[in-house]
Amino acid sequence: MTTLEANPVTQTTNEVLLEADGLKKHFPVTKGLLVSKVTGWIKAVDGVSFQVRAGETLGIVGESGCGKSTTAKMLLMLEEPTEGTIRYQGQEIRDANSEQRRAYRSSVQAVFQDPWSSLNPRMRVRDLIAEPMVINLNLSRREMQDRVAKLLNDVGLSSYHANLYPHEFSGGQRQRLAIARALSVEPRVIVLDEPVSALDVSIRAQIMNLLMDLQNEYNVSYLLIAHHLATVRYMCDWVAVMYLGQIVEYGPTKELFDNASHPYTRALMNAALPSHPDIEQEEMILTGEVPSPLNPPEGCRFHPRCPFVMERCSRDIPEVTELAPGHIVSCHLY
Amino acid sequence: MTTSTTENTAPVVLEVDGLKTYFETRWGTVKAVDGVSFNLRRGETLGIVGESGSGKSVTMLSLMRLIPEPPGRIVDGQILLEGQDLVQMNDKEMSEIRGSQIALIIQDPMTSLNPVFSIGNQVGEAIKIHQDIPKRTVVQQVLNVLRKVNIPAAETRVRDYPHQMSGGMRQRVVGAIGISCEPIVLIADEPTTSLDVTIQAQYLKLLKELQEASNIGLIFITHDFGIVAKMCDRVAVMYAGRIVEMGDVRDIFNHPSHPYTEALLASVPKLEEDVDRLYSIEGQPPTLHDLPTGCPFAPRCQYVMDKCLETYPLQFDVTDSHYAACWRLE
Repeated sequence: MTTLEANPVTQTTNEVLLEADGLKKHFPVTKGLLVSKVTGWIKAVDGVSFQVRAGETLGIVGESGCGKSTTAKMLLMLEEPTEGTIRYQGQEIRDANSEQRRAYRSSVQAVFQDPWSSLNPRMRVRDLIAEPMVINLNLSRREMQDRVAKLLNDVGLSSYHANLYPHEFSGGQRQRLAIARALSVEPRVIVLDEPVSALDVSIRAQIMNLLMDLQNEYNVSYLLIAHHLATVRYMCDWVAVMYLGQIVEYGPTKELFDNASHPYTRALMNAALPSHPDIEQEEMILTGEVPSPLNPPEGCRFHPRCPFVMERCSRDIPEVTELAPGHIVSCHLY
Repeated sequence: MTTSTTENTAPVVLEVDGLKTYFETRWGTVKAVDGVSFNLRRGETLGIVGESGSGKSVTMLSLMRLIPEPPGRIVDGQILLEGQDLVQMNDKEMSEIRGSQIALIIQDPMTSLNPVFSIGNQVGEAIKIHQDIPKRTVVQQVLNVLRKVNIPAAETRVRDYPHQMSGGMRQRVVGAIGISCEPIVLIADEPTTSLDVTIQAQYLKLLKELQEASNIGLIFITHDFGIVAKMCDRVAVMYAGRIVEMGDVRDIFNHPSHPYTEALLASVPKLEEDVDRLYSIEGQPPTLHDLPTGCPFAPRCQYVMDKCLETYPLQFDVTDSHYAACWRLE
């Protein structure tokens, strides 16, 4: 599978804010305690390219081990890419000086899956939300307090909550706090890593709707990491499906869901649980499990589990094909 | 989703009547399960749906008689498993039934297997306890069970330890322990939450096959209506310790009659169609030691009436096999 071309033709005209091009992250596998020797490489992310546009949401779907979280970490500058580039507003962040890096870090924020572990239990809400502002903005105490009150209000809490500690909140409320904290420095992009999967069903819709309202209000872009396809369909404008460190299919949400083309995407959709008992699902249950990224299969990485496997799949790396404007797939079937 | 014509005549294997499980805490009595009644027929799949704090897991623990006492206690009610009341049994009698006639598949395969015992040892444990058979036969049975849950190369994997297996494999081992003594009733507590989507599909298919092969009564404890839609024949929706609506799976999906069920169904995004905006239920589930008088859902209900705030609603029949506890149906 070659890297997906970075410039799919698109109908939307929103400017590209954040762009990944041929991004790779390989982790060394070492042996030996004192004199350690690299015995192999785990190719967690192996050449992904995508674009996050202003005010839009890109979803990355895939199963555990597909590299979606590592991709997010690279965008957050928590991991250094082995190869490939990340461009923010046209500028490559690897070449950026420390001032620009700091600016980048404040414009790309994150909300994590588990609001029980992502908020410091010893800090009051006021300080939790103000912390990114203290680091990144030069505000007076008074301004800071007003901002905190406004943010709490925007995420559906009240200003008196500022004096409480995280343990005094329910899961949904904590996720609201995490969102307020991410929004505090007025970022352009927020990486949402499974933002609702740890929450109760009746709370999930609240948070998803809140995120979409805030997107309009703050004109922020989201990069949504998720495994639940219906959530992705509801929230995203663009979707990238990842398998073993690579993007196998990429396109505008509606197009991709209506004309899912890669066998893996189709299998994911068939495996997803139906929303009504009368929905008949195509019987397409994948056998086996995701192979180890330490030793990914030759040719197309999906071929050992693919129901439509052909002879050349185990030999040749599939080319990227554009099926519809912006909708690209890498599979020998097309 | 299976043949529903034969099921209505199958014998009832489990009958729960007026089950109440309370916990004494320093904030007062928590009525975790407060008057739950349902029955389960042979070969039938019942889904118990609810959010955290709805009492679905305490119901499950009560059925297994695994409520920690104190602070918990089954205060009232009957659990009749083929006519024998589990509530009245002493610990010794119960331990003969638990695992052999009524078994449990626990939520998290990463933590529910003991890391220092081999797979064969753990699957064989229940067989050894419940069946008086020679050691060689136990080994044979363990292999049979492992093959039933589609573990490849069972002869070698039987000596493996949990860390040598993937998540999907471990989940199958947990499933194998559940069915090892051919129970009459099998309870699956959120059996797929920690699995990937494609592995989840494999596992659900396997559970369905196992159930059909030995006609087990299966209870799914879940928060996911997707699992209910895919697997269950009947559904009980729980809220704040009680069943608020119960009926055949199609009745529940087509005519949800309790506002909570209706709102829950509307708040789940759909894979098959575009939804402009999800319905979202405001507020949060109530805390159980401080329940409002009247209907506990009233503060979040869009149809709330004066009566709802005063008295807990009675159960009203929507059809013969479908009821909901809501004053709107009066």
